[in-house]
Amino acid sequence: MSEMGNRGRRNFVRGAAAALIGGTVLAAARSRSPKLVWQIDPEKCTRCGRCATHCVLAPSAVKCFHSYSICGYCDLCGGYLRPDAKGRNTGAENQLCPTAAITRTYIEAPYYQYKIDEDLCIGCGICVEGCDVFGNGSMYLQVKHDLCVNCNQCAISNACPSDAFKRVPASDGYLLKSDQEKRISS
Amino acid sequence: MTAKTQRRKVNARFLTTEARRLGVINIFLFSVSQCLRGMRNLSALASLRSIILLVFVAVSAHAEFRFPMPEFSTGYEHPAVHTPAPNNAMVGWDVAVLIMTLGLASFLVLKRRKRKEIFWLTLFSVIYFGFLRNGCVCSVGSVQNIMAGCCDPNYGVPLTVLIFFAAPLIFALLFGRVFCAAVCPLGAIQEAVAIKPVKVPLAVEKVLSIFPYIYLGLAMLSVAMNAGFIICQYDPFVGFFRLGASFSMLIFGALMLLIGIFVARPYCRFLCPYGVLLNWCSKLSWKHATITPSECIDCKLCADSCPYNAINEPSAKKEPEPRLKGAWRLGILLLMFPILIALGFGTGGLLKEPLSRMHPTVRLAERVAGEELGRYEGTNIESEAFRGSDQPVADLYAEAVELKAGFAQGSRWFGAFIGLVIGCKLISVSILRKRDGYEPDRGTCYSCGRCFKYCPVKG
Amino acid sequence: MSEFKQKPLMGLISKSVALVAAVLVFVVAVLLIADHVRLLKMDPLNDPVLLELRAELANSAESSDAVVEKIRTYDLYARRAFFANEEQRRSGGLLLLSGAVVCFVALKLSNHWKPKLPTVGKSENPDHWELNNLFRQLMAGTGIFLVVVSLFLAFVVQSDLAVVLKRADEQAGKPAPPVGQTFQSALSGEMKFNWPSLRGPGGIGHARMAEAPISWDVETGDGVLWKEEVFVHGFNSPIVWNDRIFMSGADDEGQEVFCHDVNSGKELWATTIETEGELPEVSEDTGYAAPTMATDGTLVFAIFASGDLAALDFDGKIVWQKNIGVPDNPYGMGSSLISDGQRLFVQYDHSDEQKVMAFDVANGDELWRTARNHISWSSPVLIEPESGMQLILNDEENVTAYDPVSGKQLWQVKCLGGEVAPSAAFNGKDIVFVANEYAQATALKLNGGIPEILWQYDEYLPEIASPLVTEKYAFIATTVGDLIGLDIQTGEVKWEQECDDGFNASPILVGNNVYAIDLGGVVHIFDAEAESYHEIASIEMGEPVYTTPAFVNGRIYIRGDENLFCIGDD
Repeated sequence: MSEMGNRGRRNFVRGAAAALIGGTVLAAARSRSPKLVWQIDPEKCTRCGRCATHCVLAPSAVKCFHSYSICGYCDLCGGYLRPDAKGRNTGAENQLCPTAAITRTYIEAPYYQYKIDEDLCIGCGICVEGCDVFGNGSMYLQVKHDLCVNCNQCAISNACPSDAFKRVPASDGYLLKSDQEKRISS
Repeated sequence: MTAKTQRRKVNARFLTTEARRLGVINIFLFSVSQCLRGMRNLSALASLRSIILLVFVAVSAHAEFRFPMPEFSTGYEHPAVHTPAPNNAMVGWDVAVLIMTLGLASFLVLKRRKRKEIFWLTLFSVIYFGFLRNGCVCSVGSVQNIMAGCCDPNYGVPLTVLIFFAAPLIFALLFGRVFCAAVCPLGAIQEAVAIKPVKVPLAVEKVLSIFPYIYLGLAMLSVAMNAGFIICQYDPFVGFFRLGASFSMLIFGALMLLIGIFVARPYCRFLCPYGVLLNWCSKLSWKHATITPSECIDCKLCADSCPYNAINEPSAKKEPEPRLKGAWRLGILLLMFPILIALGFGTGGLLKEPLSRMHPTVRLAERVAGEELGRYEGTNIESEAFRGSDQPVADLYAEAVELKAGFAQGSRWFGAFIGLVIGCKLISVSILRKRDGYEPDRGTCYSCGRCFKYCPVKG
Repeated sequence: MSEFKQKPLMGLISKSVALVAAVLVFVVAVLLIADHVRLLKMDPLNDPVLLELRAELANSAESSDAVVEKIRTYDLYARRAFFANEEQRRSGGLLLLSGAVVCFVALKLSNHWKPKLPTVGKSENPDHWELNNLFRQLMAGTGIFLVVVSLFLAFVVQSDLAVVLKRADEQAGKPAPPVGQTFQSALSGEMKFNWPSLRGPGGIGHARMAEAPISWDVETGDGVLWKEEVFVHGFNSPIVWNDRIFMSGADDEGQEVFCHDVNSGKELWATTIETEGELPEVSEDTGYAAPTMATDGTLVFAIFASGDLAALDFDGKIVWQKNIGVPDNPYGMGSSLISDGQRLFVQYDHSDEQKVMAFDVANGDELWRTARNHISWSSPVLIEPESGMQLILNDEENVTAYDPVSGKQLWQVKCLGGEVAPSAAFNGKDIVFVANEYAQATALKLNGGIPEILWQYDEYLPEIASPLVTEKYAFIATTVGDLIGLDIQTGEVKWEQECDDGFNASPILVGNNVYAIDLGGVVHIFDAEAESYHEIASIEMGEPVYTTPAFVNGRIYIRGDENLFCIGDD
């Protein structure tokens, strides 16, 4: 008899626990906001260089983005050339990018296009700083979602000195500087 | 002081786009040469900036940009920016594999009762949930997402995470901690290295088992105060699964594994916060793994087989002490229970300052305040970044003060929680339970199946 | 019991394999850690040799092919070394991992072939109850340990923030001086009714007299009490104490302080301030005597572009003199002096050093100095909100308040930019207003001595002239000749007025009127209370005016390019 009572009590407690789990899950799920992913707010980023070193991936999932629509297409590009550069070629004494990920192409006098090779880019932000100090700030760092493994707690965000990492809805996972930017998402 | 104006007026001469461009280049070179000639970079750059600004603000249509965007005569068009969407392909699979492995693990533990088969499933989990899926999202970390979802109405918890959180708990309610046995990649990697487990004295084991509660409490506090997911931050093994992590993280993980050779599953037993929830659920489990397939014959063969101290021995035939003494002690402990909670509450209050440092904003505010008091030499990277931003110091301080108030509350409740846990543990060991044979402790047994083969009774 | 079958030979083999693997793992791990420690110091991008080569190239006048070639070669080497190292580390890591896997598999197998036999537990029932006693004791110990750790942490982790906030609170919590006497607690009544520094008492642009003349004619001499030629050039504004007017002047041949009589305009005395050091290069438009003098009522103080700081008595005798370092500054020293009656404040923000100093007025001893971070050309201002006197300084980035007594920073707001010359304005109660071209104008409301941004405005901004705030409005006078009136509470633009010439002189509030003199020498007098620009008068001085006028005892003293004017009735 006491055995039976015991079992009944057990079942009751078990049911209560299941209800509690369900309740917690429902409480957590009450805001059906979309899936969130990590992204860098370019306005807050200070180009400290930790994106290149603190990502769990190597090379980092953070890459330099280039918003062409706000680029000045300058001959003397602050993001491409070292400030003390004497020439405009890709020699080691002129180039700013440590991995030579920026290609410079002549468009028409006096404009040059600067394109970033994402396979080479390590997200160090050196060019971003250059473009910000002497340029329109058209180069900036963003998390590339095809590479990012979307850690529950982003390791770079822990190390970010300016709180620039935030969770954004996956449906619009980029914080581009210009609305006019053409995008390809495939 | 009029000089400034005049000098600037000289520079405003460049009017056409072309001339402006050339002019800026000249000024750029001039400024660079000034830097090189030993003038302070900063002031040279600052004057450079303001000169450039003036030149363009005056005439440019795009006032916020330093250089005007060109209009191309060759019909050149801006290339598109590559903005790939997040990769979701595996998510459905993950949930399916999780449920399947949980089911399979339950089947192996309760029906097949073969340690070897359970171990193979364990290896599968290490490879799939660990190395293939990079160990993220895992059920252990999902506790934080659930908490965040409960605290922050703007934080949405994806369905996958909800299932990763709930499924192992439901299975624990039904079949015990089969999740720990063969599904959790963190448990699995430790299970794989547990070669020469030694027994930790039972009393020590029980005392150490309050650390998961402390960890859980801290993690919940951190999430509630929006200070980040510390369980993920200090995940010891995710670095191995991704074959790359910070050096300290790898060292921590390696140490855990080294210890794990002798003290089996150190993370699960003495740290894992999710284990706390699983423990509770497993205590209520509907069916749980048993050592013997039928009746225990009290042969004592299995007594030493469990590296986790999770086998309860049958209770002594004779009363260990006069009933009255035990009852007295229980009474005293029950009286002490509220006192313990209150003590925890008070002690937690002491921890307001240290715990508030979990939040980066509080750390930053303290750093900035410390710099103001001259406690540090120079700035650090965070305070530097802050000083470079537009945020007023007063705002930062106000935010930090508000957060600290939150932490003051939170750390008190955290302390009370720990007091409650200690009280419960004291009371639970002081209740005399009758056991007829050797049986696994429902709360702490990981259903790893080691003891099965030690039982001479065959079903 | 097939599970416990022993295969000793296989067990031995697997055990030795495991041992070998373990040794391998250990060696590789040690090597990897050593490598990591070594690499911590290495930075291939900032390799010292490479940096040196780059500097060499930068210093050479034209591109030198030999150096370029060297840089390229060395860069290649550095890269090769880096990637070779990466490769090594990667293979080391893989070796480590596979070694560990082999080791564990071998150990597992050895366990499998030589399984631990079941042993019968200790003969009698272990005394669980006793174990529980031990547990209770240990648990109590742990509880005490946790409490001790908490106490320790609470003791060790102290809050700097709390200290800072408490200090701010203490300042805010000081008993507020009775309303109407705010100025007297710091600046004496005598100071209040004189013109002891640039922009009057406290340097906030408020004249303490009910009204000033609104009509005069320089050509006919109507309403002009006297006009006196000023011989030595200087862009500093006149200061007035009782019956004396003080100004300074300098060129590359000498520095002078001179004094005029308020009633006759006659020069009473002129004292040369000898300089020891070399004169710095200054721009023609700043000159050697741009900073306005200050007085505490007993002595007058002057500073020059040479860094010479001198105190003279009212008869022109030098009481003390010192050189505080030749300012290194692209334009020249521009910051004026100010005194609270006991201390003389010098804002000294230059290229190589930025600081603010306080000197004892009596003997010139330095009382305190506080380091600052940015260059500036603006002047210190003494404001007196209810929480106590503050010294407000502008620089290229921030507006910063200091405690005049200790020199400790009270607060700082980052809202400025560009080469800032305008100083802060204050409404006399609780609103500080700062503005500069290439930044924005910002109104800060002081709440218990701590500021919060009320509003910002960024259209027409001043470059030289300091703004002015009254109870209702904020006024801006720009270098291109715009006068702007803004609502002080909201920042709403009330009116905009275009003048022919720009403003170097700061606008001053006298009673209900504002006096602003443009570079062409036109005095614009307008209603400070009106909802729109309401001109009271517009009077030509006949010569350019760069300086801010002084308003004392119903009279106006204006230093033009060549003459000093005294406007007033007999």
